[in-house]
Amino acid sequence: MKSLAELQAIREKTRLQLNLRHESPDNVSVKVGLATCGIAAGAREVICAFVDELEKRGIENVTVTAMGCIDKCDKEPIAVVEVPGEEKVTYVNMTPEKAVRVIEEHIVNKKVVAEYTDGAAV
Amino acid sequence: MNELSLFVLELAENSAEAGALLVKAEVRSAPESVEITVTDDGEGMTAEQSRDAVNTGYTTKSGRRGRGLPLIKAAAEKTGGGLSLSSRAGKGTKVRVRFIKNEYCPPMGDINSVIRILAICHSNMDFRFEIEQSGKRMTFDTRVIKERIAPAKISSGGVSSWIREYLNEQTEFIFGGAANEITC
Ligand SMILES: Nc1ncnc2c1ncn2[C@@H]1O[C@H](COP(=O)(O)OP(=O)(O)OP(=O)(O)O)[C@@H](O)[C@H]1O
Ligand SMILES: [Mg+2]
Repeated sequence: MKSLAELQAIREKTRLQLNLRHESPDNVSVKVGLATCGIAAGAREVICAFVDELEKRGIENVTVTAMGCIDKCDKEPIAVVEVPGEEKVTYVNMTPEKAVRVIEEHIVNKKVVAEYTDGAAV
Repeated sequence: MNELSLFVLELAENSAEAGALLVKAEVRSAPESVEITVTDDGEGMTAEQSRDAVNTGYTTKSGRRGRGLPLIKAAAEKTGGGLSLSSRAGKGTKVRVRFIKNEYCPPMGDINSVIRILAICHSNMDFRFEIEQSGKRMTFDTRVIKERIAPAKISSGGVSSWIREYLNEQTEFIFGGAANEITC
């Protein structure tokens, strides 16, 4: 059984990491649409994919949050990725697989996945 | 979107959008019915707003379509149940949805993922979930987690997978199966 005591062990581990990382506050933001249109289109699975892949890779400077509807309901699930100092990028018709690739290419390798962006030919 | 767990997500998002800091969600499964109750301490609604809120197209948010509540209400009424709303401006809102267990009752769906993404995507809010079925009960409270892991965040490495495994164990105990296979 999972116990709450395990959380304290996790805290001790992250405390060390926090000390090592305190000088890199440049947070990347990932926002996923969680209005009714986003939920109905599969935003839950997309967010889970972002969260799980970030954790798998040990990436800590990315926050995943919810956003409303940006009037492109037919293109949900939508994820907006913003790297500090760069233009934000809107990815449309997202899937869990696409989320993994956005992390790999955009967030890790700093290269926008153009084919998933709004307006790209499909 | 015909899953009870997605209705919980929609209701909790409404709470978040109403500026709530604490959201309590209960799912109680009895032999004949399932009841979902979501209570928040957000900005609430006036009596008039509460009446209008369940009408398709009513929204106070810019660019939105006002489809969440009417959709859930219709799904509940299709089973012979219903949705009731009680709210006070400046105080908070309680939404109660009742589904009768019959062929029209939507499946639970992946409630664990819903709990996890709410906790992580709204890390500045707190959530308390309570799930009950045939005498078995589980609770999950982000305040308890945060107290244990401070100053680390609920989204930090290790915590989110701990939450996933914890919830999987709990719901397996309650429903005797993987959460996304739960039917009502
Ligand atoms: N928990 C709540 N607290 C305060 N007001 C609420 C709450 N839930 C709903 N409302 C009010 O009822 C309206 C209708 O809610 P509903 O979920 O149907 O649509 P929406 O959230 O505005 O848009 P959509 O769900 O289609 O993205 C909201 O715009 C809001 O004014
Ligand atoms: Mg809504």
